[in-house]
Amino acid sequence: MEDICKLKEDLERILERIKELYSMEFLTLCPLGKEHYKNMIIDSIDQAYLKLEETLNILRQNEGKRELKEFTLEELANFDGRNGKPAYVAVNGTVYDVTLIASWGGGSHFGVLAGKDVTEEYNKCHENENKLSKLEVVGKLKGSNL
Amino acid sequence: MKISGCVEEIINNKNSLSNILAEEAITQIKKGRVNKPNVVWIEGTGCSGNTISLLNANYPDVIYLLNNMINLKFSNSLMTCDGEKAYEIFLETIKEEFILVVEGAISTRENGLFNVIASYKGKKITALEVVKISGYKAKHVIAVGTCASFGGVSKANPNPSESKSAKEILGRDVINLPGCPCHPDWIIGTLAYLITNDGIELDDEGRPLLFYGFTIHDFCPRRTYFNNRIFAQNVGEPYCMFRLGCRGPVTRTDCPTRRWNSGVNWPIGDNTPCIGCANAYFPDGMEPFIRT
Amino acid sequence: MGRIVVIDPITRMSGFLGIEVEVEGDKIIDAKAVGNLFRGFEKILKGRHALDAVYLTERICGICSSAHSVASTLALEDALEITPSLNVRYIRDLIHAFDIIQNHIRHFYLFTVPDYVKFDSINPVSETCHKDYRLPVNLNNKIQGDYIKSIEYSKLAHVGVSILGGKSPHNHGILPGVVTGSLDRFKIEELKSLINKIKDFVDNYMLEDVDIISNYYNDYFEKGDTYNNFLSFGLFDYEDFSYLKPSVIINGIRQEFDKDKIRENIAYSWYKIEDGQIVEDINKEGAYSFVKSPRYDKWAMEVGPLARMILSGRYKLQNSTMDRITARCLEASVILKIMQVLIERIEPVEERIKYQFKDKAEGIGLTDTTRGALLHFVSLERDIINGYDIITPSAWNFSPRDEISFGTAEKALMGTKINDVNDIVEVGRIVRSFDPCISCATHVTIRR
Repeated sequence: MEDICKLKEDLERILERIKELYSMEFLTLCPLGKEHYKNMIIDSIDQAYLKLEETLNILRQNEGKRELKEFTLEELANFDGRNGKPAYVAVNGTVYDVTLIASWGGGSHFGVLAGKDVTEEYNKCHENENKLSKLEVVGKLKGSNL
Repeated sequence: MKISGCVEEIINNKNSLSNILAEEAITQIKKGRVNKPNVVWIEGTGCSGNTISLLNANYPDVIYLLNNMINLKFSNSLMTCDGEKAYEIFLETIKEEFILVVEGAISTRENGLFNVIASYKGKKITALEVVKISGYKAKHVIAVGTCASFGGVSKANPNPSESKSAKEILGRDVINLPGCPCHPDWIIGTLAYLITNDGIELDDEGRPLLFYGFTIHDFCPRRTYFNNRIFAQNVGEPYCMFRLGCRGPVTRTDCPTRRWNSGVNWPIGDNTPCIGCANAYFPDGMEPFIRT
Repeated sequence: MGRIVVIDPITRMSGFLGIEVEVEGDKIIDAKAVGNLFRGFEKILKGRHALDAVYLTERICGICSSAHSVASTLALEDALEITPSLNVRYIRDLIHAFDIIQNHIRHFYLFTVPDYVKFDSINPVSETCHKDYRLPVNLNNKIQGDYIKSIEYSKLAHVGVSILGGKSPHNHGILPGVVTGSLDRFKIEELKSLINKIKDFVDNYMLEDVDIISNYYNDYFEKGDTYNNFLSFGLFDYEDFSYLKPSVIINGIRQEFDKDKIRENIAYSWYKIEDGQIVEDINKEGAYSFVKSPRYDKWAMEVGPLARMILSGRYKLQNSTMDRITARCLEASVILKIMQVLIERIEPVEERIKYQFKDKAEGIGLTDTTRGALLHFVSLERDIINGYDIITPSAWNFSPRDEISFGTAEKALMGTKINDVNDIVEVGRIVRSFDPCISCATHVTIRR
């Protein structure tokens, strides 16, 4: 985790640097100056490239190990999509994020509201479909044996 | 006019589509290729809002429709005759070829007695009976509005009037024109299409692809806000209404381009979410309308 | 014992109404107004989300949808203790006013005029079944032409609703505490021009046409009189100007308005009480209508444009079929004048609202609208509707009788002299002058 934080700081620093160089390149009138700044920008992008690769590697390593957050039903009820809150639903013990799923406007979907265990409704309407694989998993329901 | 050729037309110029169709129909009628069809407009359990919406038609308007395109023989809201004479006109009309338009759901409670639409020779005539005796004979059955198409508000849980849609009653092919109310262009455009063609291409819910081919989300002018996650927090804000419960992504109509009342505005343009009024699951599956 | 004549459907109205009259000699000696449609909105609303009441109750009525959005919004504001700003009230009233104008123009031309004017073309208006047409050809033709013009102007009134409210019928713009549309100076000018255009039509065509009709059918000033009981919940009522405050006239005498005197009676309606709940019963002995009988104190009241014009002192205290029609047209002109005031006052400012719900709340919304006095009552548990009641104008006018009196429209029919017993044209004319709307009237549930 520490690595990630350091990488984040590095990337932010490089980004600032690139912004600065862009404005310098824009402001300077000398053609040679322009060329100089362009080269410096490319150098910075190269640095950023390396940092990004490092970041991705760390993220990939952590992917398998990530602990699923546990939700109690009371906690889940908080994520109902109202007032700008995210909209989560639980199906078969897994908690999914439906906040930006097009058919879930305002955290409601054909009369089903977010913030709940909707296993029964899901099985009733989408029995032979696999809608879940497209959804982002955010955790699991407490007490479920996943 | 084949549908495939129309798709481009729909995208580019939805406003004039029903106008083009109507003109085509008139030309054919004038050339004597087709007759002005007789139309019977039956109102059932509903609010007559589709008739009112039809009166809002712009180009062509309702007078043009009545004078040049169809013979509207029976309409509870517009016809001069009343009482038994009115019902006799209905009986006469259905002896010949005609198009049946159903507005409103059909109440089946107490065998239809919860919606009586006429008394004839001492007998109460229910909407259920009228739709049944005319529905099988009609050349086409057009269900106008969400109530007639899918049950709509009249059928909303717990369905106190035991309402059903026209298709549920008749079990035959019905052209569904949902919308609460139905946009006048959808009605006139469909009629015009049926005058000049034998049928009209429908989707699996019986809706003409011409008007119900795309979701509101597909052509929403606020789509950029959605893509960039700029959401309205309250009604009245000029951004994407998605987080307030917008049903645009699950509702198929051409509202974003056609718009309402001579094209001056539409619900999302008024900074409120689409409530999915043309959806088969309206209103039960479309609630809450405004998520607060 | 006279001859029973049933006229069903009474066409050119919203919903389904049958009239059963008993004719003895050339007089109507008994009349029943039969509301033939049941919908049960109060049952549909129970258990739904509070704000959904606004968009759902609109769908009670396709012709007067804005009225229900206004009344349900007032009821919710009362329950949630929201006080809308003056600007919001102006804009809301403007939407409502546009819809009232749409109603009045359409009711007069599309629903009333074919009773008095013979049409040469336009199915299904030209097919007639009565003979009593009295206008000379030139005037007959003039009004036919105005009928076609009216389509344009009533449509423009709905364009006005749509600019402010998103679409019409069933606008989206009216909600508790706010109006949602974005306004700007250009839109305001657009609306001003709409109002002027429509006012021009009403003043120069509609008023002239109603004058012509009332001259040639002046016997209808003697037909269709009701009890002299008039009721209004008030309309466009502001501190510094007002069309009408809540007011009551009973037996011709003005009284203080008290909303607690509103009652409902179901003696002759197809309902019964079972375990404290009201349930439908089509087989009830003696009952003949889905409309219930709202009463003020014990009185059957007339509501609508005539009642408002009389209560606001703009029309003399008399009532008949032709007075009702004339008052409607005159009122259209009055309301357009009020709209010209309102449009000058509105500002293009935007307001936002966050709704706060309490554990339990109740609210009542009273307003007058096209056809008369409209009441919405809501009871909430958190943001869920626990109970909803609606008393519509047509329920006041088209109620069946109760133990002591006839319904208002029934009273109007009683004693009417029929000119030709084989061609009873009077009943339709009298009934239509009330502007019946049965899709509205049959939702009423009993008050607590």
